[in-house]
Amino acid sequence: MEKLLEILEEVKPGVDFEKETELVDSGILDSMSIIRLVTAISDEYDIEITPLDLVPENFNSAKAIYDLIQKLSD
Amino acid sequence: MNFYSYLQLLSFALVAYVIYLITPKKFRWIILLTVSTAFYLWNSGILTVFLLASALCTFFAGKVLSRFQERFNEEKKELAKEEKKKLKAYYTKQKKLVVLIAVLLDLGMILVLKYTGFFTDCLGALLRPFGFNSEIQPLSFALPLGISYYTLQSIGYIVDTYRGKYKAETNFAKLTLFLSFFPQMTEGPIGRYDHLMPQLTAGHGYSDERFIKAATLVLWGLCKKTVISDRASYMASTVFNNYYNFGGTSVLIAVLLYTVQLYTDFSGCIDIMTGIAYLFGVELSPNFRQPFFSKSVGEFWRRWHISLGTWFKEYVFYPVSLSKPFMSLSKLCTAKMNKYWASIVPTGCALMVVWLGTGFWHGADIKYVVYGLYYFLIMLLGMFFEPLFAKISAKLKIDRKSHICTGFAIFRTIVLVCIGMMLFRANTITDFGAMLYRIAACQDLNEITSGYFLTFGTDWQDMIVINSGLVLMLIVGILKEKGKDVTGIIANSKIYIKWSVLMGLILAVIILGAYGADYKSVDNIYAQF
Amino acid sequence: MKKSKIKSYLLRIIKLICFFGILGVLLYMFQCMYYPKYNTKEKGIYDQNAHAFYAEPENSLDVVFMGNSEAYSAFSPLELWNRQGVTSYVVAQGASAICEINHNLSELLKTQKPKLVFLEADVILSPHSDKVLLEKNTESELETNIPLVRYHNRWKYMSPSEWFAPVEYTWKSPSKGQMIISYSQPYKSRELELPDGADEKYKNGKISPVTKYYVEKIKSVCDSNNIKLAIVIIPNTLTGSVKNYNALQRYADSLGVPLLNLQKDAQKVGLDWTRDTRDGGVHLNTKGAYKVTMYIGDYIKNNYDIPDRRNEKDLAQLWDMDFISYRKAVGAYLK
Repeated sequence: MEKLLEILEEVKPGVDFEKETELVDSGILDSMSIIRLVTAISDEYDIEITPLDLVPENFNSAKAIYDLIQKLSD
Repeated sequence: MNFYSYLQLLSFALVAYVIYLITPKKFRWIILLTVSTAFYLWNSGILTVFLLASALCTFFAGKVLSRFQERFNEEKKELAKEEKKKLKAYYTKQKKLVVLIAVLLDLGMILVLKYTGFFTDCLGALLRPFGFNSEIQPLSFALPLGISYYTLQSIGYIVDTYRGKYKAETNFAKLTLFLSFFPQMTEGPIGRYDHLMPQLTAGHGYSDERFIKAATLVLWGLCKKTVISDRASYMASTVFNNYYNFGGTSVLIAVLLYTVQLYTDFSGCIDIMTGIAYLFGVELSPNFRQPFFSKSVGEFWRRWHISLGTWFKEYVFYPVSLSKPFMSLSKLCTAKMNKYWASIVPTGCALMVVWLGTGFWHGADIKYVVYGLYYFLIMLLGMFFEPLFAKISAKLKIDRKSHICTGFAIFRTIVLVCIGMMLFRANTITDFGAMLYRIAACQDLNEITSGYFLTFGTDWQDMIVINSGLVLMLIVGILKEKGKDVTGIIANSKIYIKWSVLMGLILAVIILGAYGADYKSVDNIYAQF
Repeated sequence: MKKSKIKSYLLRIIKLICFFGILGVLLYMFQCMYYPKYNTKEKGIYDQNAHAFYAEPENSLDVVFMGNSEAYSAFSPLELWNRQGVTSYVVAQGASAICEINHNLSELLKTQKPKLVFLEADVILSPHSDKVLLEKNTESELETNIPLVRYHNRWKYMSPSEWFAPVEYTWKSPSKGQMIISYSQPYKSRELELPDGADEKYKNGKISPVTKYYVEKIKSVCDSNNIKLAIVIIPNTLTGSVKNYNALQRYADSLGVPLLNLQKDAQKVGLDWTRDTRDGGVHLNTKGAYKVTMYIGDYIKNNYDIPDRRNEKDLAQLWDMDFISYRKAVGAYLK
């Protein structure tokens, strides 16, 4: 989880990722940030993310992203 | 469509609505299909065959893809992990082939019908230095109504069924309704199957609230179109077609008026179509969300022609960025550059593909490709300079969320967008350059003070009407930005408010509309797509 | 249960009626305000020349020529008066939808009792598709039946004194609706060569059902007012073709309406297309109009019982004065 927060901080500095629960809906993470995030995550965790996974529910909070990573690691 | 065409459409919609209401709920979607077919045939005649071809292709592709998915789900049950992977790879390959064929067929139709002229021009231009001066006649074909919209809509459906987002439609008639629902054929929005289909088949009946909301929206859109857009178009057209006869100030005003014209025309038409669809209980996806409140060009394109931007994001940007070649590119960049660049370069490349596509979608002309690249460059520069700006404002202790900064950001966005609009409307790229030069270097305030700028198509009374309309739109925009459902509020207000608004809008359209003998017709700009 | 349902439906219907009632009153009020009170272009009337007939004394017109720009270029009511004392008028609008003609006829019949109406053929052969014709005529229907739609833009030019002033259309056309255009731009030969038209869109003899609807409407208005109707073909290069004129002959026969084909009778009319046209064969000029009028005058004399009104003192005085002014304006050119 810490690694994920580090990555998030790099992609979009200055955001409190531990607390935010509307990262996509409030526009903090736009489509370009999401792609940069996804590239870093798929590299770091060696998972394959498809466009089907790129829905707001999966990226609205750090926890949701972490859950996605867990799911795809199986 | 000019004013009378809209009246025709509205009468048609009302008659359709009456028939719809007296039909039992179960069969209402069939009425929608019949009505949409009649509308399409009236507009496109024999060209309807292309819509039919697209529908057939889309339908069968969806069915085959869903069948592959089902078969995979069945067969994988008995298998071990390794075997499952092999099976998945096999089926993915099959599915990809189906998607490829279907998308090529779909795209093929629009490429031939819409872009042949462009390709033959390019070919001619390429071969000319080699001495081929062939007189290839520029081929141009009549376009079936809304081909640029329904093609994207069907490709979206095909890709969604490939991704297994939902099961394919099993009823060909229903799928055809999805692609041909008449309010979305002229200027979109580009719809999504899972969002649209349930609404199309729900068979919603009459409700006072819905009717008044729909009527208000339609009248509001009609006002925007005939009172403001058509009015603004005269000066804009006069100057854009003869810019060399005007000083920089007039050109600047014309650019501003054109931006007004395009926005009120496009959003007005969308309002009318959304209102009509809403009568039948169908909520089309929003296409505009107060775009001129945007603080950046990126944000602008998330508030302007939203359905197009979303489509390109879902079906071009994401797949391209997550594709193997791009992932390898980003790995390469990570290895060779610092972390920031490594994340920008691949994203930037994917973004370029999106903007080339967006630009090209707007028209079969190199000008539109440049238009797309223009916005791409702005966003790229934005990404490039972002860390620098962050550092500077931190050092100077500027609060980037302050009113002044926000105001400046909005102003800057409007300027950049207006330049883009100028490019969009200019007859050629060289015209655009010349006009830009005029604005920058040939300002002549005399043209305003002497009232000269009021003599080519839009006089002082027109300006008052346009500006009053814009003020009203600003108020409505601010309310919507604060989350207020304006049509809902009106529909639920006291009867004298409801009636005043409706009558006011009707009177505004009839009396202030820029139609009739004094005004030449101004066709919808986005309906040529 | 049922009672309250009926009640709510009734309430809804009453609300609807009230809404449209109030709206109707408001629209009517605006219409009265915006309606032009005087029949000149300056004062806002639509197509000044076509709406000059209002000023003619009641029941003073016996023959009316109707149509589009072909009609106002090809007939000279004052020459007809001078020759045989027949009072006639041209009520024509350039490039107009045929619906306008029907409307103008109804307007004319409010103050006139003509005995004969000539409908010029170009408005029947107009080069538009059915779809376009339907649109144009629907627009025209809207504009003529709801004048607010036609005149809504006058808010820009009116002064408040005009809002509730009485309607007084007293402007007269000095040439009784004829457009006096005297210069000539010659066609390539003395005779007008018309194509067969079989392969050309809009020249292959199809008469749109939209047009037929209005022609039949005009005929029924004429029938119910005891007016004789005749169709006249003024040949021109725009819509003229063998197929078109044959089709028109067949159509006129089916309606029982006499057809004057001035292409067929060109020799008798004496048209010389190197001198009688103002734009190379699309419209006649004043000289051409003179020849056509003489021919029509004969036709009227031989086929209809239209009175010679030169014995009506007051009327004749006005017409004679108008004729003198007319000849002053074009006399030299006619020689």
